[in-house]
Amino acid sequence: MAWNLDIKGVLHPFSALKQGFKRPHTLNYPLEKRQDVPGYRGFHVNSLIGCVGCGNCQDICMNEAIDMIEPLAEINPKNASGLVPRIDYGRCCWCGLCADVCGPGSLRLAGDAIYVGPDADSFLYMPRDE
Amino acid sequence: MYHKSQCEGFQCEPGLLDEGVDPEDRQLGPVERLVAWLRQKSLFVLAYGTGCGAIEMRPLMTSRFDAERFGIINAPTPRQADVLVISGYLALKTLKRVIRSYEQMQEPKYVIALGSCTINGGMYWDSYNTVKQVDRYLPVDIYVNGCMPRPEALIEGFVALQERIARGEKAGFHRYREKIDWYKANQRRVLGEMMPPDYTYDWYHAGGIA
Amino acid sequence: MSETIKIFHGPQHPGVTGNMSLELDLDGETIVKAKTHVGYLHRGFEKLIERRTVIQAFTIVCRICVPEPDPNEENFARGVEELLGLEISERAQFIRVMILELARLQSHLLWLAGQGASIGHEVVPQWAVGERDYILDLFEEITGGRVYHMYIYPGGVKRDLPDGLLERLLVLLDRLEARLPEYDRIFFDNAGVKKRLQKVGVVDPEEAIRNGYSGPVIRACGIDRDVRRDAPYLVYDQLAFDVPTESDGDAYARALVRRAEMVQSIRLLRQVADRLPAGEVQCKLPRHRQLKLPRAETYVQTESARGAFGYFMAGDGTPYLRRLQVRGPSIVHAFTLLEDLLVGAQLSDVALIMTSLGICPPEIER
Repeated sequence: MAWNLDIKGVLHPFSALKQGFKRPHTLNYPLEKRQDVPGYRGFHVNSLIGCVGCGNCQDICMNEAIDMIEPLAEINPKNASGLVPRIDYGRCCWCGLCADVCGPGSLRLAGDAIYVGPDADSFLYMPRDE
Repeated sequence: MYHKSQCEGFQCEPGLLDEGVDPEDRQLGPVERLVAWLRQKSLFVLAYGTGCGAIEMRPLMTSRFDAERFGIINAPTPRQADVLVISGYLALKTLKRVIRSYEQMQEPKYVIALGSCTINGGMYWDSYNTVKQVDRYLPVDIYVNGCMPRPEALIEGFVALQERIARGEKAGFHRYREKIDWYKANQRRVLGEMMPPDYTYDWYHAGGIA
Repeated sequence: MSETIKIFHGPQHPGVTGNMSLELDLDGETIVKAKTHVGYLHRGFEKLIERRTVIQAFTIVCRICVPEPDPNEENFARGVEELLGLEISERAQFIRVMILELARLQSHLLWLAGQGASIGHEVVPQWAVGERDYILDLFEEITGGRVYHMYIYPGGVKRDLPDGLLERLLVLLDRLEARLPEYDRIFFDNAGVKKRLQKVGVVDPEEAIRNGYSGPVIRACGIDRDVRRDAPYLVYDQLAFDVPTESDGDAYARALVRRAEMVQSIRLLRQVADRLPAGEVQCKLPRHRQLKLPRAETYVQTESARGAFGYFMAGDGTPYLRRLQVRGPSIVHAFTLLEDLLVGAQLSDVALIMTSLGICPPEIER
């Protein structure tokens, strides 16, 4: 095999060393957090005053993640069925179809996205009321 | 992280929250505390991208989110790994290999399950080839929510695992030892003929250290 | 007469691109026979689609290919639009081109990270995945998610661009263009990398056409084919771009082709940012159980970062798709091409060859 001298090819990679003098772009996660991006598809929120209990969200969700259950808080007097959605985060894929199809626009996806837990049964989520 | 109200947030009965903590408040002696501190600060993750979640493990391990600040790096072989990350759904063929890798890991070993597919089936809940609830086949220590979970959520998952190790709770591998027959029965039911051979878990019955 | 050893370059390995395995017969360090095993990621997509209406199905197709989900969404949306006879607005077409080219850029950066790691170059993965994260930030602003966008919708795109996005896009493109010479210095002109990648995994041009390879694999052998130019879709016929080719056919030529494609993607994105027209972005569609597809069939193709991606869709008068057949580019690369290239190769080159072909297991076995 011929051996040709490739000085440029041997010396140029050392130019990577100058990155050592620049400020690192690591996001120190617990100390610095990213800004919330509007429109991020995170956990659900549902304003109970607006929700009319029509069940469109349950109908369109193809993962069968939404159950309509009886709430413990005050609900809209116009709520026909008396039920509000609860979402199983063991099935949800955060596609946003339920928020798109919601008639009064009460079910939305907000920015919060972090939850960890040791128990699989604790992942049934009642959307926050706001 | 654990929401306790039953009206909003994640629904869990208060009893389940304390399941991991012994009521007698295990007092860890100084040597045990030191060992727990050393274990939690150097978790080696097995290099196995079992599913979709492998795509968010790359940003986690590299410069932007840098899990190496927490002591987490990749290990190529199960004999040197502490944590098995099940990143996403498990097809049946992969389940067999994951069980083999898990049994080859040395104790203490932990499992972190990412994504909603491991919790209750996720998007593929009606598929003929995926596993719906990983907890029946392998003991899972921490579930991380999301589809895909963000790297920040993965970091929270690792931090929660570190806290569990620091508290000295009974981890998944203890459960696997105690209930080995239940786990094996479940695996046999879903894998059928593809079941890994019996000699892989002989030592569990013999009571020796892995 | 020497015996061969059989090893599994298995699914749990830091050197495989995804979850697939190879069964190798070795004579010393040279490979005598190779066999690919897939099936570790099979979810049964084509069966799952039959139970979901068209609007519900669009959220599941993006998970067919994990590193680059957007060509899947584009194929699905275009197939449905062709079956229904919908026309989408110019603004939606330009936005779709922008999303597809950004997806191509981040897929090439991810490829670069994998190629560096497979030969032991640990600096390039850190840089490339770090840069790619800024592109994912941009995706998050536009579509609402980092990895799975679910944005390219039959009838247009889901929502309009936020304010100030085009300026941020141009800032990102300037930054990427300024970084490319640095990547050249550490990777593409690196003497060690050239020694590893040249003359490894050489693809034969006649076989390439006969077997149906596509993408950077054939463009590196000198064959000039690209779905964006030969069968233009969206607004690619109004935008100016070149199709880079090289003639050696080895792994280094494929690396150079991908680097040139990154430059062309940046050029396309600048043109889109200049020429984005105003208008609506979404057609009105009926409710999901009333959106009936006619009895017709169609085949659509897109150029993804790894090759030509094709979908065959057939409707039958109900809201459900009768059949969806997915043909990813990696399916021929992983079986025919990989098994051919590995015969006679060294064991330490297996990871290198797999990454340079750009094999993505989720799209092989949906």
